[in-house]
Amino acid sequence: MRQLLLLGALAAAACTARSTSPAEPPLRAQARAAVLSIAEGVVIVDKTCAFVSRERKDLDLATSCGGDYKSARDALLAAERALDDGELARAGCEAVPAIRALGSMIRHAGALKEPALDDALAMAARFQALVPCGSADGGAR
Amino acid sequence: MIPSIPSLDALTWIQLITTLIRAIPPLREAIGMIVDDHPDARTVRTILSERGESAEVADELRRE
Repeated sequence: MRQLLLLGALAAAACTARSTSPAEPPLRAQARAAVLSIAEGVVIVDKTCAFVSRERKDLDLATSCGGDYKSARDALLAAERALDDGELARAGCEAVPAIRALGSMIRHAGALKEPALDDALAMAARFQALVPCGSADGGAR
Repeated sequence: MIPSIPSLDALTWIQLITTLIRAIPPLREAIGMIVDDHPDARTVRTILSERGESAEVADELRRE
């Protein structure tokens, strides 16, 4: 009898635990995944930019991509720090220059078809939707 | 007097097990934080080196 009761209690508690766990990952985790995905995208475009610049001996392109890379890195580091501090609204604002820089690098390096880059662009859009710059309810959940 | 474990009644067992199960998510979170602190964890700094390849190519082209 006691064993039956115990089994019943376990099942009930497991159901309770499952219902309280979120169906989706927390907002901060999603935002962090987006930041890292954008960083991966920056690496891919930077490599392409470097290759094209070397092939064409195009100093302007290399310089432009190098500057965008630095802007994107600085912005993503700041966004990551904001996420670590649990300040999602600030992270949204800090990431804006990175997303712009990624777009600029893609434009300068030419059309690219790379799945990881598609993911980075999708995650950038998702990031901007999740934590728009200046959102009042940007607290970590 | 501290009761021995077999002497716990069914209700106490239920409370004990429920408490343990509720403690699992915070424990998992704590373990996750330890993993985040690991030096091999993926961060912006581990993905993006201080200078990109384009900047290196720009330096090369300037030298040529």
